[in-house]
Order: sequence, then structure tokens, then C-alpha cells
Amino acid sequence: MKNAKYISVAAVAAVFLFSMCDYVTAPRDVVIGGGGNFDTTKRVALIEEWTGHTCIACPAAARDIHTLDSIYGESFIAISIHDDYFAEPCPPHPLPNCATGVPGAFAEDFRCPTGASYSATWPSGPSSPPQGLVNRLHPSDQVITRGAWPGLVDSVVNELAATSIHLEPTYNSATRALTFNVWGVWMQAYTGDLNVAVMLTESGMVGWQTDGTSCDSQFVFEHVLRECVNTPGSITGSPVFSGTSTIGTRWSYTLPTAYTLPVAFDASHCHLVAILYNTTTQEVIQAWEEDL
Amino acid sequence: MKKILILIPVALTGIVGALQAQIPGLGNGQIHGNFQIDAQYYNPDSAIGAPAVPEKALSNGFGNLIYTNGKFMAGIRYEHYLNVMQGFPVEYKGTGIPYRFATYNNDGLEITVGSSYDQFGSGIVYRAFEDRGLGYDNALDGARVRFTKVKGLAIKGVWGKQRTFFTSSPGIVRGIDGEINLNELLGHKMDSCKTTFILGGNFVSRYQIDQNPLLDMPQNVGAWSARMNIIRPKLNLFGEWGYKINDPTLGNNYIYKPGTALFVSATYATKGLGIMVAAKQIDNFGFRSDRDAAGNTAIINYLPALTKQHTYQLAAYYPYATQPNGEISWQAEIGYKFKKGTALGGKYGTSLTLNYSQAHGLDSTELHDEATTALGYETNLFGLGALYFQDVNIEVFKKFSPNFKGTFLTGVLQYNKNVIEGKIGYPIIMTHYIVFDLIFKLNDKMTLRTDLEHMYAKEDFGSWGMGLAELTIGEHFFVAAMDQYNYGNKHEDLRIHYMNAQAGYYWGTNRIVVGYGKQRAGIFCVGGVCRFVPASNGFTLSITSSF
Amino acid sequence: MKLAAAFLLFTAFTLKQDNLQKLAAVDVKGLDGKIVNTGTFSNNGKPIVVSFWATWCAPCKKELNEIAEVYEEWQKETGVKVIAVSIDDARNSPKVKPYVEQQEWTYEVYLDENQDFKRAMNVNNVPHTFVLNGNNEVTWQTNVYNPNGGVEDIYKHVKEAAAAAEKK
Repeated sequence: MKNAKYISVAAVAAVFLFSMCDYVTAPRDVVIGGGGNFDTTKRVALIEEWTGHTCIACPAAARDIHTLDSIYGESFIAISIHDDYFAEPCPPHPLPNCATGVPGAFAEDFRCPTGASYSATWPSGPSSPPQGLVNRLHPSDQVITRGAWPGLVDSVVNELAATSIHLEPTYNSATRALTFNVWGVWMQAYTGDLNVAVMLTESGMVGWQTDGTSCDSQFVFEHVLRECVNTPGSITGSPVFSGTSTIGTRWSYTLPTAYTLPVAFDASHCHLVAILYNTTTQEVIQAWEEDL
Repeated sequence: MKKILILIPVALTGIVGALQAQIPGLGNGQIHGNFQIDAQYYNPDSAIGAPAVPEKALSNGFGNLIYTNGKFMAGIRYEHYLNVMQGFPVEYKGTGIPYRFATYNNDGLEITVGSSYDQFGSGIVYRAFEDRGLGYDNALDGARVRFTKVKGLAIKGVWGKQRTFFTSSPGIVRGIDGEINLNELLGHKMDSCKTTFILGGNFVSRYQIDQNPLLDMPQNVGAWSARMNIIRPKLNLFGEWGYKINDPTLGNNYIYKPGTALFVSATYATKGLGIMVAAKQIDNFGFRSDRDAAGNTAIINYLPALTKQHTYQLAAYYPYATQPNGEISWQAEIGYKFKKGTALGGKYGTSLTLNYSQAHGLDSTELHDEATTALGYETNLFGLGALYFQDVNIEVFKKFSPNFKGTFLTGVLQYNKNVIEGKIGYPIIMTHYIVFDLIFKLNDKMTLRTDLEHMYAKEDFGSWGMGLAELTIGEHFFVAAMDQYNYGNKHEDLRIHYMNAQAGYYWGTNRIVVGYGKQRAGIFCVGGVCRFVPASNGFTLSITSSF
Repeated sequence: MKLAAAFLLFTAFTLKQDNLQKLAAVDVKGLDGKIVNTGTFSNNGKPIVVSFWATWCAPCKKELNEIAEVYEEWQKETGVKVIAVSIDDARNSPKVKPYVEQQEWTYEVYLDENQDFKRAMNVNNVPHTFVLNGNNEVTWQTNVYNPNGGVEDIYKHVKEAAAAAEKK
């Protein structure tokens, strides 16, 4: 049959194609040693993620962040932004079916003006959480989904940092006055306009969360965004550097007037996150987290 | 530099001119194209939830140009989003020429470089297509080869990257498809056979680098399908079965379970009667060229919904989209035409169509023990999970007189809002809808169409009523006015009239339509994913032209 | 990309635009499953009407049903052939044959499931109807269904195309 040659060519092509399959067998999760000492010459990875208690894929994202934290230790920081539809308290938000008839379920409200400021800057952020930013490395106003976080985090923490970063908070538990000093020393030449925004986050809050099939009334919310301490209600922060850096020189910023920690926040579970970012590209150059 | 830029087109013109003059078969080139420009002015309207738009007015548009010369074809599409209109993906930014291709068909071997659209079989493994009205476009940028030299044998191959807005998806897509028409291939030996046998199969592999430090991701993910089509003069049987190897993605929550898809349909059609039944089972069969993509981007395959595609607005209020993670669904449709002169047919005949469709989730058990948890879940092959969608409807078309005809449609629909829209806390929404679409020919120069609709959705927004009157005047002009009124909303302040008016003028292949009014928020679906379009209030303009 | 644009635009100026648009040659599928190249569409030198439609397009169906009522007459007078090209994709393409038979259409019907033919003919939306002369050249086209004599208008252009063919 004269068509046999065509069919055999196709068959050979098919055999080649079928070899283009990677079958992955258990264990599928890669085991990486945890913790590790922070290398001061490297960049710190910062995830800023949108989440919400009625966002069904968000518990999985929280687990990913927890895993990343255990792997990368001090080189990794997370901020969870509760904003918009999925973070609305119930009511007015419809109560998940799994909590029907439970008074007070899903009543917690972690939204804050600074979170709204994040959403205004990245409008697609709150539309379908969990999604977020890794060092704000993405083109313009785009956010990325949780599966793309680990790869980016891994590449960021292996890059050399342009500058070191040190955050020194002072907190007076009697007056609840909070101040801080943030500074760094240039390790590479860098050109651009930089702001530093220092975010207040709180961990350990217990509340309701659903994954779509079930409701958990004892879910622990970690690193929840509360406020931008140096520019409350806005993620803008304060200018700290402009122009081209000279290696070995220092940049710094000190909060001019103390911020009063609201009584609703538990200081022992609060953290400060300093974000040094380029005001043109939004890219986070370096970041650091300290407990109060 | 500028001089060079000017010289290039001049030189090209010269080359083209020379080619046309000297090379036989290249002398009859033609350029044709089409354009569409849409713009809308947005008034913020908090009552209907229409957001304030900082630009006040937004516009999308595109123009296609295709150059054909014998067996050669080349084309481009220029697109603008300044800025992108509400409801379209915000990733459409600015302007560009994201689509360009050149094709030459040389004696049964057709090669395309650049952008291409294509589908393998019914598309359950590979389909590159566009729907400009919905902002969907996953054209493949690369190469495509089609081999059709042997009658009854068609082989296609594709290799490229998928378009995602103005960039491309990180994965590389490679695929091959073959289709054999046994009757044509075997020629005269099959002449006496009234039954046509068509067999096909395809394989598609996606490569995406694994940069995930937490999970061991397969970099090359393969998917394939086999299909068979048996056609008799009145009967058509089609079946396609697909398989996909481990492919942890955002969509399936990063599980390693292989995916399967089965799609079967049977039709019987004879003068005046048409019957179609179809069924489908999808299990973890989302296939994308970017494992971390969400929404409508980087989708490689097409999983059609087995439901009636409604054209009337309130019947189409709750559209269904295939759930790629898992679904069992089926559909049956019977169409019958009562002949002229019979009791039900009347003087001009009556068409009746019954349609029934239903979709369920899979009956599955989550796997939690250490060894199997990465596979996610186990499927009970013959079980049914939660109801996702059901639609039972009847449509009648009747011509009463030369100047009066009408369509009547009514149905009952059930909609699982939680699953389809990714919401929580809603019961299954049950709606009843009824439509009267009547056309009155007033005289030689005027035709009036009225479209009266009602829908009742107790569990959602209550009752809706709609009235539309459209007057076509002469050969070039129409005006229409419409009101959709959510009169049964539980919240009295949400009992809103969505009124708008449109006027259109068309001549030749040009059309200009202007409108003003309010449009309700709605869901528009394509492929396996639905998109939400927010409510708006304002002035709209749409211009289309082709040549 | 820009080069491609420049190339096409400047090519346009070098062309004689008085020649009629040729029917594009792309593959579509017949209801019998056969792959057919649209370049082979033929009506022995008599005019052809190519109408793009879809099962979900109400005006398209109105237009084709209206033509169906007078199709026999048209054929007798001009020998015209109507080709109905459905742009339904896999969701609705199985419904095409049942619908065609239910309505007792006697047109040639093809499936353009991935809209290759639609794109090649620069069709924005359906309905879009082309009238071809005996040489498969477009002599007239429209992209609306006009209930006020739109079908008669199509026929007027069919007759013109038929008359022109006779003269030859």
C-alpha cells in the first residue's frame, strides 16, 4: 500500500512525542533542609498575598506559606492582606453552607485601609484570591497565583542583595508607643527612587475559615496586615533614597512621631515588616521582619 | 535609522511589485480585512454597582488584514485596548499586533508560520481559538504543518507558545493529530458501503520548566485522545476518549492524579425530525500551558458545555461552563417540524424543539493517607456527585401569517452557583423562564420585533421582567428600546429598571450602532471558564466593517 | 511585527483593487464527515450564496428559513446554490445536522468548527452572506439580516450574478 510510508512516518513521530511525558512518582514533594542561617549578602523574599475567610483555596495557600517559612526561615516574609469580597464578614456576605445556623460564624473582619490601598494599586489582587506578589516582581499591576510563588521565592533568596537591611523597633508596652529605625548599607551600585514602607502585621488570631467543603472555627490567621506604620492607610511609605548609590554608604529612616498601637492588637503577636521598594517599578529591593 | 525605516517598506513594495510582475502565479494578490471598534462612556452608578471609571470612556478595537495570492496567504491583526473596556481581562493593555501569520499550501503540504488557530478532533486535548467578543484568544505562535496529499488521510502538527494577552505563556506546546477517513482512503473498495468510518488520534505535550522548590513538577506533560466517527445517511455516532498524565496545576490544587475525558454523541436526522443525545465525563482534564495560570489564560484544550446555548437574555442569565476538575453531564434534544396543513402545523408548519441537559460533579472520595494524598481523590466511575446544572425547555417556532411569526420558549433551570461561580453560601438556584419573541411585518418598509421575557429565581434575585421592541425601518436602519426590571428583588432598593436604547445604521458591510442606558451585571462563558462583566451605565458605540 | 504591517500595507498599494474578492480556500467539514476545501466549491458556472450561520444565532436561522421557502423557485430561475456554513464549535456542531433536517433545508451544509473559513473571509459576526458569481468571486455581501426584504435583496444580487454569467 503506497500510503504505508506516510502512516509509518506518522507512527515514528508519535513514538517520539509519546516520550515527551514526565511521570512523577512518590515522593512528589522535594525535601529541603529547613531553617538555615540567613546570608546577609542575599535578598529576602516577600510574599504579599490577598486572602479571605470565605476564599476556599486560601487555606492551601496558607499551608504553602507555612512550608516556605520553614524552608527559608529569616529569608522569607509573608503579609496576608484581607480585603474585599472574600474577607467581608458574614453578614452581609453570604454565610457558607457549612456554618448555617451558627451564630457569630465568619463575623471576624480583618480588613483595613492599608489593605484597600494594596487593592487599589493591584486591582486584580482581591478578585480571585489566593494570589499575590513576590517582591512585586511582576509586570505592572499583575499578581501571580500561589503555585508560582515557591519558584520565585527560591530564585529571589539566591540573588545578591543591593543593600543590607536592619530594622530596630522600640515599643513601650505602658504607653503602647511604637517607633522604629530602619537602615542599610549599599553592597551594590543601585539607581532609582526608593521608599520604605513599614507594615504592622499580627499573627495568632483564631477565627472561621472555609475550604469549600468544610468550615474550621479554630483556624489560626497568621501575619495579617494591620497598618502601614509610617503612612497609615496607604502603602506608599516614606522616601529614603534617590539617585545612584555608592557602595559602602548608608541609607536610613526613623519614624518621626511614635505610632500608638491600637489596644485591639496583641503586641506579643505583632511584627513589623520593612519594605524597601522602587517607586517606579514597585519592585521590592530588600525587606526585613522583626517582632515587636 | 529613520531613513532605513522609510526605506524598508519602499524596498518591500518594490520586491512585491517585482514578484507580481515576474513570477507566474503571484500576479493576483488581494487584500481583504475587517474592523471592529467598540467604545463606551461610563457613568458611575452605585445603585446598580457600576464602578467609577477614571478614564470616563474606554475603547477596544481590532482590524484584520489578510493578503491572499494563490496558494499564499498572510495576515495580521492590530488590536487596541485604550484602556480595556469593563468586563474584559485587564491584562489587555495598550496596542499591538499580536497576530500575524504566513501560509503556503504546496501540493498537499500546508505550512504556516506565526500565529495559528486549530483544533484536534472535538478539541478536548487541543484547540487554539478566538472569541473577540469575550476577549478570549489562545492562538499558538509558532509553526503549523498540515499534510493532506493522500485522500482520506489528514495529518496536522503544531509547535509553539500560546498567546496570553500581549505576551505568551511560559510553556511550549507540541502536538500531532491524524485522521483517517477509511472510505476515502480505501477508495473504490468502499464505494458500496453506505457507512463512513473516520478514525482519529492525537498527542499533545507541554513543556514548562520546574522551578518549584516544594514539589517535583513534571516538566513534560502529555495528553492524548482517540476518536471514532461512524456516519450513515441518517445516523451519526461520535466518540472521543482522552487521557492526560500527572499534571499538578493551580486548577486541580496541585494533585498528581492522571486525567480522563470521554465525550460521546449520537444523532439521528431525517426530513422534519432531528434527534441528538450526547454525554460526557470529565475527570481532572484541565490542560494549560502554564500550570500556575488562573482564569481564561493559557488553556490548551476545549471542554464544551453540553447545554443549550440560549440566545434570549433572561434564559441565558445563568449560563453553564464545563467544570474541568470533574463533571458528568448529558444532553438530549429532539426537533420536529409539524408539516404544513396538519392540525399542529397550520398553514405554514410549526417547529418544536425539546431540550434537556443535566450536569453533576463526580462521585469522589478524597485521599488523605501519606502514600496517596498527592493523587487528591478517587473517582467512583458510575456515581453521580452534586447537581451542578439542569435545564429542561421547550421551544416552538410558528409562522401565523406572512406578516406575523413568533418563537415561544419556556423552561426550568437549576444552577449551582457555588460551584459554577466559585461562590459560597448559596442554595441551588431554580429558575423558571418564559420568552415570547414576536415579529410583525408592518408594511414593506417596517418590521417590528418584540421580545417579552420573564424569569423567576427565588433563591437569587427574585423575579425579572423584560421587554424589548425593535423596529427595523427600510433597509438600513433600526431602533430598539429595552427594559429589564428586577421587580421581585427581596431588597426594595434593588428593584431596578435596566433601561437602554439602541439605534443602528448599516449599509453594505458597514454597521454603526449607538446605545445609551444601563446594563446589568452578567456572566459570560467561554470554554471551561466564565467571566463576570460588571454593570454599566452610559453611552456605547460599536462600528464594524469588512471589505 | 511592524515589518509585517508595513509589508501588508504597502503591498496593498501595489495591488489592483478593482478585481473581485476570490472565495478563500480553506478546509471545512461536510455533514458526511469529509474534509472539503472551500476552493473546490462549484456550481458549474452558476451563482452561489455562501451564508455563515450558527445554531445559536436567531437572525441567521430566520434568514436561512426564509430562503428555504423560496429556494426551489430561486434554483429554477437562476440555478443558484446555497451553501450554509455553520460556525458552531464542538458544543453545538452535533446539533447542526438534526436542525438542518428538522427544517428540511436542502442546502449544502458545512461545519467550520474552528472558524478558519470565517476568518479567511473576514467575517466579524454571523449572519454574514456572500453572493458569488460563477467564478467563485464575491459580487456582493451583507453582514446583517434585514427583515424588510433582506432575502429579496440577496436574490436581486443572485440574479445579477446569474445574468452576468449568461452574457459570458
